[in-house]
Amino acid sequence: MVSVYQMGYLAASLCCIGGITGLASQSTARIGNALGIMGVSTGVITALCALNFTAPLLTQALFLLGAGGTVGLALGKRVAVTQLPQTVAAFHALVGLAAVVTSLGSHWSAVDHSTLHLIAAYLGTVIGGITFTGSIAAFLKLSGIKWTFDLPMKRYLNKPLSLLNIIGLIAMVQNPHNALLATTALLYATGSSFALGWNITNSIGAADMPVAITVLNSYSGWALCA
Amino acid sequence: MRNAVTLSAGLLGCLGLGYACADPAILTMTSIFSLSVITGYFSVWGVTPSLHTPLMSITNAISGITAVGGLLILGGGYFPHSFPQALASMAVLLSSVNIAGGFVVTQRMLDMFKRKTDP
Repeated sequence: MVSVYQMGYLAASLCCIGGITGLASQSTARIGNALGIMGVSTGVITALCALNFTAPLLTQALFLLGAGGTVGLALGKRVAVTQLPQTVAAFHALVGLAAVVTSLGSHWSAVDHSTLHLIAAYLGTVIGGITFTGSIAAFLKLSGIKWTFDLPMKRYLNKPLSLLNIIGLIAMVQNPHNALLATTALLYATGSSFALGWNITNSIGAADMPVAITVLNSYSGWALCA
Repeated sequence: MRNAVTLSAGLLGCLGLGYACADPAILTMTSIFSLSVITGYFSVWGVTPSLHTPLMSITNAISGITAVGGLLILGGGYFPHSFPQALASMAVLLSSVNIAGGFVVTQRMLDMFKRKTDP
C-alpha cells in the first residue's frame, strides 16, 4: 500500500505544478485553479488514508480541517475585491506560522533524530518564521495601516542573526542527542527568523514557492522514513 | 569564465554532499528538491504578467499543503494529549484556513479577468 500512497503524493504534486502552469494564459487560468484545488485535496486525502488514524483521531483531524476550511471560505468570500491582495498576505502569514509550529512539534514528538530530520525541522522553522512576520508586515502595508514598528538597530541586525542561525543548525546537527541544545537552537531560530522576516518585508511574494515546495517535499519525504 | 567556475563549484558541491552524507534519504530529497526548484522556476516564468496577482494567490493556497505535515504528527484522541500534538492540530487548522481561503480568493481574482468567451 505504501507505493499507492507515494503515487498519491506524486499525483498531488503534479496537479499543483499543473495548476501553476495553467495560469500561463487567461484561457487556462480557471483550469489551473481547479487543478490546484485537486492537487491539495488529493495530498490531504492521501495523507489521511496513509496514516491509518484511529476513529477519535480521525474525528479530530476532520474537525480541524472542516473548521479551518469553513473559516477560510467565509473569510475569502466576505472580503471586498480591493482587499484581496492583503487577504492573501494574511493567509500566507497563517501558513508560515503553521510551518513553524509543525517543525517544532515534529521535532519534539519524533523519536529518531536523524540528520535529515534535524535539518528539515530547523529549515522549516526558519523559513516559516520569516514567512510569518514578513507576511504580517506585508498585510499591514497593503491595507494601508500606518502603524509600523522598527526593530532597534535594524540595519545591523540581519547579518549576525543569519550567521547565528547557521551556527545553530551546525551545532544541532553535530550533537543530535543533546535535547536541550536542540530546543534552544530551535527556539532561537523561531525568534530570529521572526525578526528577520519583519526586516526583509520587501522581498515578499517571491517567498511563496520555495516554502511550498520545500515543506511539501520534506514532509512527504520523511513520511516514508517515519 | 565566471559561469564555468560557478558551475564546477556547484557540481563539486553535489559530489561533496554525496561524499559527506551516507544517508540515501538526504540524497533523494536533494534530487527531488533541485528538480522541483527547476520545475517551479519554469512554470512561474511562463505566467503572463497580467495574471501575477492570481499566481501569488494560488501559490499561497498551494502552500497550505503544510496541513499534511501537521496531519503526520497529529496524535491523541478527540483532543491532543501532549504539547507537540497540540502544536500539530494548530498547524492543521491554520493550513486548512489557508487552503480554502486561498482558492476562493484566487477564484474571485480570476473572475475579475473573466471574458464572455471564457468557460
